Amino acid sequence: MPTIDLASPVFWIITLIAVAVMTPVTHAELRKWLWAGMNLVFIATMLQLRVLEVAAYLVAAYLALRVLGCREWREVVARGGLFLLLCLFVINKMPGWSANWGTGDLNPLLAAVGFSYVFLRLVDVGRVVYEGGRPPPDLASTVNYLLPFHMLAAGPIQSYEDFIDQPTVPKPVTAVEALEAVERIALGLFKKFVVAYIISKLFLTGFSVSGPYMLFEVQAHYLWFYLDFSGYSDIAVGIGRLMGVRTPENFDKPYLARNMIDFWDRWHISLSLWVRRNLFIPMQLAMARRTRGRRALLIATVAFTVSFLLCGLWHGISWPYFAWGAMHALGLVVTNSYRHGLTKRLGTKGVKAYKEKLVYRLLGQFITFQWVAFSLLVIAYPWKGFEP
Amino acid sequence: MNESVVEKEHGEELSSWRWTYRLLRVTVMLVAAYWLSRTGDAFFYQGF
Repeated sequence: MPTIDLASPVFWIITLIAVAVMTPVTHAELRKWLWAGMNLVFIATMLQLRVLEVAAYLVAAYLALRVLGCREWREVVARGGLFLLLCLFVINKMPGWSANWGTGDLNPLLAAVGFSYVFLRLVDVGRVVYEGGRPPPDLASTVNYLLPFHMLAAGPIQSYEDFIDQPTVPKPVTAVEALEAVERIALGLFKKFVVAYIISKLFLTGFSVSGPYMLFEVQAHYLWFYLDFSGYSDIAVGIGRLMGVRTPENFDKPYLARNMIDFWDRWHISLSLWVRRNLFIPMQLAMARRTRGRRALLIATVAFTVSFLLCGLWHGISWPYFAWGAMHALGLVVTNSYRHGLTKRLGTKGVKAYKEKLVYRLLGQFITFQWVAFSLLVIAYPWKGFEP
Repeated sequence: MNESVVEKEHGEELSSWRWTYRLLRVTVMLVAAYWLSRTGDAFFYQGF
């Protein structure tokens, strides 16, 4: 199955060509189409995919989004489109089921374009266009928003508003900005291929060793996962800066988080914001309307729980991912309830003083670190009988 | 103005020495990453 290989010269040749081709172009429309062309060239060469088939899907998405922007038919298209997307999502996540349904042919294509992320982008753009927040994208922008080659492997997930609001022609990249971008790419590669690799070789056993070593491996595994994952984001951000394509930050020292709400402000930030925009806030608003603004804590509890159970299932349709989502939902609910109770008891000034105490900060950081590390153990542990 | 100063970084001047150091650091990181990526088994996380 074709995958995005960051160690492949082809990836970096395409990146260099994209930077060289796009940097001097100051004509907005031409720049947009060149970027779309580069994304399709990437799919055709790096992923060795049926590019005409991908183009046909993109045209279908483009047309559906145009209809979503109109008053007539938009309800039908919204419901039908969401149903179709969910079907494709299940096909992508459950190749075994897909083979039985006779849709196995789609799986290599969906996996190669990173459909999990394409799915999130499609939901985001669909919601924004449906609500009338922004106009639907034109054809080139549909390609560029859904399949930006440097963000295909592991995100980040740009919001449609952020994408459409970026300058059509960015200001020229200075020499220092270019150096910073290259430094960011080098840092990402170093984190992924050197530090994470060494940690994995020295300390990780795939949780095959029990006893006290497992406690140590849980910590090392979290560190390895962070370095590997954030390395991808560093590379994407660096490439985006060189090309003048806005690419959101995805990590902000998550190991320093003092509670689970703080953690999700620092870890996979673009996913966290997606969950807020597309699940948490709509659910919270709908429930608040029904209860006329009462029971805010209960509403937040339900919204956190449902959002993060779905977030767990987005990562993988299996019990370990469901459990991972449940652990994060529980962590968020406990943090929110604790914060609510503390504010009631101490008042805003009291909470501020409480937060400034070093011992509470360190304790919070330790508990949060362990909670996250053990949630990652749940999905990485070689459970028997839970494979999708 | 010092001739070795070629650019500004966050309002601070970036000397040619600083440029050299940073380029050298990038090179070391890239060479190490390239060398270890050649082992062929450094792929773990490939997105979801």
